[in-house]
Amino acid sequence: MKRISFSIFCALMLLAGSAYAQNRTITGKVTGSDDGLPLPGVNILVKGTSEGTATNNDGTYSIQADGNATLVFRYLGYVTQEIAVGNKTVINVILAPDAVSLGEVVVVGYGSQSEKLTLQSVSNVNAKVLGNLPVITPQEALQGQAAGVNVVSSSGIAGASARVNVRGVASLGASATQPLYVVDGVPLNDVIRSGGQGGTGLNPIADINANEIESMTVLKDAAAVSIYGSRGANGVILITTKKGTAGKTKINFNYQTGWNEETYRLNMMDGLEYQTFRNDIRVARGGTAVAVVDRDYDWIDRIHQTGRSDQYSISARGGDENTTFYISGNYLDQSSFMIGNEIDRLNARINLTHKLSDGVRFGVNVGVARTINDRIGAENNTFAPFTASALQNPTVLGQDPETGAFTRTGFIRNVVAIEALATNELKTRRLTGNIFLEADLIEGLTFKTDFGIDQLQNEQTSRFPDIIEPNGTGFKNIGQDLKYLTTNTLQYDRAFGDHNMTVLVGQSYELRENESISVAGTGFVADALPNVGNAATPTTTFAGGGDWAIYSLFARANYNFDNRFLFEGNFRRDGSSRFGANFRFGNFWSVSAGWRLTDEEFIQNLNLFDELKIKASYGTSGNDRIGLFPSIGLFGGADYAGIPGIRPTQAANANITWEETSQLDITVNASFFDSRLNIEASYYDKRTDGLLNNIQIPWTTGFSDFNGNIGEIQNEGVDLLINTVNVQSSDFVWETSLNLGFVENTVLSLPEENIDDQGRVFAPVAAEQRAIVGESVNTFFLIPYVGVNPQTGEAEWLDIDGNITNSPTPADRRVQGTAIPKVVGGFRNNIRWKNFDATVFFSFAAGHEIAYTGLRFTENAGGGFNKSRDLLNYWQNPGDQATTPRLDGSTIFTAQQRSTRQLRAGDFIRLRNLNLGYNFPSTLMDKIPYLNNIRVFAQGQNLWLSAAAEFEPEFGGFPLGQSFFPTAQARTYTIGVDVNF
Amino acid sequence: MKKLLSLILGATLVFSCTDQLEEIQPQNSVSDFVAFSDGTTALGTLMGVYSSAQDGDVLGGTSAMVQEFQSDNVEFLGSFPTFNDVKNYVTLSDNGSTGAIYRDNFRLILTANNVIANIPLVADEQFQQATRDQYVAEAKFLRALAYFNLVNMFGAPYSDNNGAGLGVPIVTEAFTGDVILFERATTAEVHGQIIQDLNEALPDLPTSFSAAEGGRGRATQGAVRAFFARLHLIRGEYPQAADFAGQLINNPDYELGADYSFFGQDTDEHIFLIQNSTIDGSSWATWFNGADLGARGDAPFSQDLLDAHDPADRRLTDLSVQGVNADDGNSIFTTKFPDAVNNSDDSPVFRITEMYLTRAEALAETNGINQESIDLINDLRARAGLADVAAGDFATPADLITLILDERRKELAFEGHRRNDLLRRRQGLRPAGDANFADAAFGQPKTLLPIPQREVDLNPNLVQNAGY
Repeated sequence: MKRISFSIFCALMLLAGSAYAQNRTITGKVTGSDDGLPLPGVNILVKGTSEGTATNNDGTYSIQADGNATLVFRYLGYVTQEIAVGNKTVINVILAPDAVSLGEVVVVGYGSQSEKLTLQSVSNVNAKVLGNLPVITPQEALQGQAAGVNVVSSSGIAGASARVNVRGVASLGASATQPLYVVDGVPLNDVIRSGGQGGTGLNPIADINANEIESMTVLKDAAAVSIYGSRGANGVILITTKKGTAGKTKINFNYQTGWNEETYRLNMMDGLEYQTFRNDIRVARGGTAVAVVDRDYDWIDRIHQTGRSDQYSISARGGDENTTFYISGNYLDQSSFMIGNEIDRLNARINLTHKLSDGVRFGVNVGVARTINDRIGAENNTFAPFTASALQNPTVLGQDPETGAFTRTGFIRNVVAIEALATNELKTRRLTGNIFLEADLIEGLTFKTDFGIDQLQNEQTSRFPDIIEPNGTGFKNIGQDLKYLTTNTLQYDRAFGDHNMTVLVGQSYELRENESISVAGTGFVADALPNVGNAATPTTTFAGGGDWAIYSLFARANYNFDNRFLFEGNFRRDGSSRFGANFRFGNFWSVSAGWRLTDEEFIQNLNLFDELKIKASYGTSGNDRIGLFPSIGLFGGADYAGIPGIRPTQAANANITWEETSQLDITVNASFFDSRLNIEASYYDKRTDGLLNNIQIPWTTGFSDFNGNIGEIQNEGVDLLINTVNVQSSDFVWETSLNLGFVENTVLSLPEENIDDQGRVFAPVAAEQRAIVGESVNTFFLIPYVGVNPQTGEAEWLDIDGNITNSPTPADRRVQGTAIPKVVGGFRNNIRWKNFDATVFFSFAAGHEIAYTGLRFTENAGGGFNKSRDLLNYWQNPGDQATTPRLDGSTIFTAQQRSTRQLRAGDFIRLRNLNLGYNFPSTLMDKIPYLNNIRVFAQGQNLWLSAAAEFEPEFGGFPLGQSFFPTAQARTYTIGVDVNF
Repeated sequence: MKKLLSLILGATLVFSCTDQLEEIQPQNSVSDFVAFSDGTTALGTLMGVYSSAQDGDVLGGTSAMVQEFQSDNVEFLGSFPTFNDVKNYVTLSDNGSTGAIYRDNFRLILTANNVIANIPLVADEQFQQATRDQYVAEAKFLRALAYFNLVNMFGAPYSDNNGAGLGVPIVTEAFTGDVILFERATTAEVHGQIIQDLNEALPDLPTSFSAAEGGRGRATQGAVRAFFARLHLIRGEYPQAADFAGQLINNPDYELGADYSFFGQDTDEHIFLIQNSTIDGSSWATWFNGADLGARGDAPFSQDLLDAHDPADRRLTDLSVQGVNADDGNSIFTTKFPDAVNNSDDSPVFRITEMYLTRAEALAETNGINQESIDLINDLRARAGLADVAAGDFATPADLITLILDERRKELAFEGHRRNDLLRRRQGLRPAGDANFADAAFGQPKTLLPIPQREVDLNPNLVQNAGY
């Protein structure tokens, strides 16, 4: 496969590589005077001709011109400069922001707005930042970059999903807390795409290549999300892919190769320690020791490897005044540090726009991807390498010492044999794209119609040989997720005098069709038969699916007076098939107002601010992620003795409707000292009412829960973004960026039925967690563990009255903190010296707790599975400061029961990224034909960690803060080269 | 140009119509309106109750295994901390595994309640009254089985003060959306509900079903009588127990198997079993087989049970095999549930052997040493390859009863009877010398399973068992 796809790239290169040369080469770099950062995409034209180019991601350019020519540097939001070439060969340009024009634009729902005039609270990550990250999936690019956006990678497993929380946790359901992803206007099929095989499922947007992304915008406040109506409550992430630019075609080739390893290993006993420890218990408790055998198999070492990755990207970008294009291809081959885990991904994209006449444009954006993921189980799965290697008895040999043949290890599977012999693979084929037509009907009035699709096909194949499952098992699932979307908008822009207004109205209809077929079987004549069709006994024959549709009307109106007083209103009406006919439609809205003080005389007189804006918004958005048919009572298949049968699977609640979040946002943007210091501070109060949740009800109803709108949650917080340019000279630039998201999550109300002994209203979340009124939705509720008493050697807990006890009960549980971090953030330093650059990026989170529930196994003195070396520190004599109780006592087999013994503070700071780069000098580049720029770079991810807990503090899964043998994160080293032609 | 644009605009607006929202319906489920629409769907809902009984926590093996290792038949060697807590008599009320047993039995009960409430209302004139009555009777029988399961595991034993202690909540209505916070009924009251269900079910049930209808996997009059025999035995009502057991022994539909090959077969040995297929997946085999067969290797013979057997006893020689246990050692495993690959083993619920044992014990209790008891036991001993016993071998009736109980243990091992057989005799669950001998003595709190903490949290009217 690798060979084929590489040849595709070669072909692409040949096609696109026919560059042309004339005159002499002028090179240089364009930076902005506001922040000193390079400006990508600056249009450079030879005045009076159609010859032109645009700057690269690092602001550099190269153009052919003769000495009489004048170059025109044009960039939206900056003052256009003209520079005569004369005898210069290097022209570095610093563009000044245009005070009259309104700076950079940010992408918002169904459009874009001037960054300086927008009233929406958004976090923007653009190609400038993205270009410097060795990220595989889009969510990683947001990690620590955007204030108030908490991104956690599930693990170092290739393809694992990340968890994204925008401004706290506003819902109770699992998928309900995740934002909506929209690529070039197409909301993605973003349900977890495949079962997690014990752990977190696979990333629903893993097929999108981060290199193709121009910008990612996180919509945060009501002003920003209300136009996404019933799906905006947990934030919206708008992904805009790169588009063509007029001018000479530019080819970019990028190659990266990397190595990765695990960030930590569990410290488990070896064969001798394990046998000795178990004998010590036997003897201490009056039994007799069992003969110790000389057998040890280092399972943990055997499941680890050095992961490798290779990534090739090539793109071509260009066009003329009428047609622009962006074409890219990407091939990724990555193995993780766990044996048997690999991802092989091929992407291509073509984005085209064409101007049919002065007033009519159309275009197409299409991304295709094919991903083959060689999977491994994770977390709560005895087939998972990480879990199985920790718990497998170390005296169990995975291979016959004589012959090397794999052994059947029993219930905890032989994960080394699985890697060698079994198939566990997910193939994904995906096509995401849209075609659009835009027409200026009369002056200021633009009509746009857009048809989008997201077609996703998953094919999961598993085949376990006889040594793993006697006689073999096979499984195949093919799932189709087809989404169609049509959107029509009318936009009217009008300015008269100092009055500026924009009105947008639109409607959209979105239909998602899901089909899935699964078969499983057992009993194969030979392992050599790979297909489940050869199984003797079918154990699963399933066909099913589910559709949903949403019909929407929406509108937005902006008005500003003299670019000083700003107003905006948004409205959306959604109708969804998910809800009962009586409650099918919901209305969402927002209003916002701002005052841009920059141009006010009294502010200008202060001579302090370069930019100052205050804005406030209030409005609503919704959340509909609660299954496809939550309102009706359902009966599902339950056959018996060959006779078809059905039984209740869901209780009816005809009154179920949207979950609604209303949010107040107040934001101040200020910039000082020639824009060397930029601050954005937002306060928000986000209240989610009518929480859509599976309400826990007594099992004596026959159900565990039923769907309902319950309770109210508040997320209140501050997002803070501080950018500074500490040093700015022609040879040396040092910039710092700090973002902080503070959030306090509080449950305001829940159904009154559930009241605990202290009179608090609560709802169960997990065995360790509750949502409690007055506390967070992810409040740990556990028995306090004190430790091993140095005198008695017994484990001690506190009872509800605060007294020491050796036999606590669940009545002794208390509130023990929250799983939601009080603050998350990132701290970045960019340093550029001559042609060298470096980025040091830390991310951190603090103020939360983590339950490491795997400790209930690894610190369990009983049972025939391997144990943590911590257990060896057991109490023997009075005065011992032991972590494990006396072996002959009453608490040795209860110490691992659920308590704060498994709870740790979650605080950490991590060196997420260290990035070093070198751009070859343009003087050298000039001597090489066709070459424009070469950059070489080296990157390290997760190089350093300081955490309160001794285990990995970042992991996925649900609910928040509950870990069960989470696979380690990856520490990655990457080197690469980036060439522009 | 403008014409073209208005055409596109018009077309897209028409295309998007809200009617389509209502056309979207579930593909893999039916709504409750459909479920009780005619006789066919009604039979489907009854099969749903049987299907609920297949669950490991109900009659599919897991709840049986828990009771076998909580008592003395099985040495649990698996990794589940929740089961290890039960084994070590340190269970807490938030134990997820025992909680699931409570949940899944109530799930069956509510599924049955739904059927019992709605089948009489089905508006289908072709749906005969006798058929409706039969379906309702089957649902009542299954509901009674679930209540019996629950009260035995979570309730106070009947032998303790004639069931005056707390049992479980009695729920006989279908769930319609109103969450009712039930109190626990006493064990005697739960028994009363079981007896009422069985009495109501008996006249409406057939004596047998064809193989296509599910054979011995469906509730019959024989199954109800076998249930009565077991219930009366647990209540110490020996004459009734002997009477019901005798009715089955004399019924030509049922006959003692010649050997032990009847497990998993629809033979005359069985009065009622739960049929499991490869697509259902019961839990028996995964617990009770060795890891070398692909099972978990968690639940082999305890040493005490091995010691109870004569080495030549066919219940040992024919029904056990050495295998790899979950602790990487070798243990002796039962072969009653051999399908560790597909977990399709049937669940034995009532079989004629139990009726022999029940009648023998009940007669010995009422009549002392008697020849019929000895004959019944000798039939079983002959099948096991053991020598007959004679009246003269027993000094007292108690000696005979001890022998009958010992035979009962060996015959029914791994089928989930042992714990209740000890509790109804007010005996401790573990033998002398066991690490938890004292904790397992009759009346000790952790001989009962806890009412799940979740239920206590959600329902303040529930009283927890002592000691939790």
